[in-house]
Amino acid sequence: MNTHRHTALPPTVNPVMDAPASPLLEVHDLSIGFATAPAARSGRPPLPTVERLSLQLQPGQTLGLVGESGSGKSLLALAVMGLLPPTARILGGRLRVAGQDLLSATPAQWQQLRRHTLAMVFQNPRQALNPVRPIGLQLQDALQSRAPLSRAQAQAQALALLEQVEIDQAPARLKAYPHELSGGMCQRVLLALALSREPRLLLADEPTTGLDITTQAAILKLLTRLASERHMATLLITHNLAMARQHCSHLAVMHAGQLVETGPAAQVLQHPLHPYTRGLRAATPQRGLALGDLQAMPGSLPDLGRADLPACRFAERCLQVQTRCDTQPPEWRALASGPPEALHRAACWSLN
Amino acid sequence: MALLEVESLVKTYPLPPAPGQRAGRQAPVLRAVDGVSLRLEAGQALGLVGESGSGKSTTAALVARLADPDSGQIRLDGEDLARVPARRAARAPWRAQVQLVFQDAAGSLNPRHTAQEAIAQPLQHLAGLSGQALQRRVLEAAALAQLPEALLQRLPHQLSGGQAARVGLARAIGLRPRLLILDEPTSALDVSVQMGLLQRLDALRRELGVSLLFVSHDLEVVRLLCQQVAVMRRGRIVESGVTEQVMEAPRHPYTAQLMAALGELDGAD
Repeated sequence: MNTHRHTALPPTVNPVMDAPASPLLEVHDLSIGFATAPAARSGRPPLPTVERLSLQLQPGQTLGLVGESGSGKSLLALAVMGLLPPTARILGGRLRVAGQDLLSATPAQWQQLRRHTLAMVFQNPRQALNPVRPIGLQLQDALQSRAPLSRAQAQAQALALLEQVEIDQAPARLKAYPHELSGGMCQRVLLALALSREPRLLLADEPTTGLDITTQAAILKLLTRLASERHMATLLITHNLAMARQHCSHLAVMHAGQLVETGPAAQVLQHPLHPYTRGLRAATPQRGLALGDLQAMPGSLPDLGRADLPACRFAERCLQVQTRCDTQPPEWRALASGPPEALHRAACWSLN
Repeated sequence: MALLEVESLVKTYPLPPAPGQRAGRQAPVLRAVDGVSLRLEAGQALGLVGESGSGKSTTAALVARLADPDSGQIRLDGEDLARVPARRAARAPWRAQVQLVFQDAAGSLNPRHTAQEAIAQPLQHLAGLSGQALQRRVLEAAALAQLPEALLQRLPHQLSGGQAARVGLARAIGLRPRLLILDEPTSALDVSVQMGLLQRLDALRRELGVSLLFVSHDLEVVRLLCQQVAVMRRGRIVESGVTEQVMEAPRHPYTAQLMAALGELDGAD
């Protein structure tokens, strides 16, 4: 049975349709909801938290996923990793990595995917590491789980990984426990663990939030350099627009579980099409602007548990709202024609 | 005379003895704050910038009198606050004049107290208010922080990050302090929420004349709010001055590094 909430509605024009043959990550019309108690009582399928999201990522690309907390960015990453919380439900759509369908993957296939194809770097690196095991051994565990290596081989590879992520005094650090390392160093270790998978797709969920600003810049530079050297595809989740601008080739902007704009990073930020992207930009501190020049965004994210959400979930905060925004999902509009990776698009009725 | 004058402040913490060190030798210490001097005029905002471990939060905690300095002076309007030990500072007559706003807004509120109770407590304990007078001041504090009245009966877990930050601000501003110490109050917030809070702080400074000591690792945010900035590294102030001037022509290599780490939305890659 197809439980997709919107199967009766006409499909929106979709950025996926005219893409080149083999994107590494392909998300098509994906909806994710939560099986909450009220939904279970009513007997209806859960309301979609992430709604009909489509995007794709080519090898070598770095896609920045931006939007306020609660916009569904992390939920998407967790779905790609197969790490959704137990109450989350995929309500419809497709999710493929390197051509493989993730939604029908068996536990054994997931294990293979997580050992060889996918890797994730989390926001709180110290919490993601085992506190009672030296980091060298944690790296060796990861390496030995994917290939039969002798202890000496695994140790040599662990050291090489620490050197690649530019940890100083790497040989001495192999014996260090996470609490003996700074937050920035822990994040480098986590990146080394991710690289030990030789992943084709790297997911990074706010990897530098909470770190010092100089450390943030260094880590992101390292991450994007390693990704481009290895021709990995990278999905970088962040709420920092300036950071996304500096380190991502492409941007995808999410609001309240809906994708609202995608395109080359420079274009999206310099000529934002969607009122939400414009609002985010207008609230972001930047050189040459005083406090009075910046504009706070009106309203806050709508409650996604509401059954009466407008079709465009930004409608209630939008200054350019039209009557159809409440009922008709906005069509995707492109700024100009061109190859798919250069297209800059947004889903908003004001662009008609 | 400046409102706040900090002079040669030093705070050390003992380190574990080095392996093999004989007992009786002088124990090694970490000089967390190593001779810091600051000046803040009434109605002005001073940004204290630096990386984790630079001593900026320790300096803020010393000025707020949550910890005792090893030596140095902290003068508020000429009165040396450092002479009262931290454990008795909570009852000192100037306590209401110096208030704090913390980074983890929700985490710094008692989870079992409503926003209303959280805002009322300092007014009860430090201003001795009760009954209708207390209620009036709570509403006034909420208005100053632009916290909607409808949220006053909520518990911390029922508030968003931005709303919790406003409760923290209302709690601190209710007493009409002369000095507000803010330790990274906006670093965990979305830009959309951060901007509103920064504009509110600036308005409180201009309208009520509250002085702000603003601790942050983000120079861009400090530039928006603070006329003066002091850059800390390894317990010392390495550069200070008018914010615009320091940012335009940083003289210390560390300040230049901080500037280089700031991203830009426009311009070439």
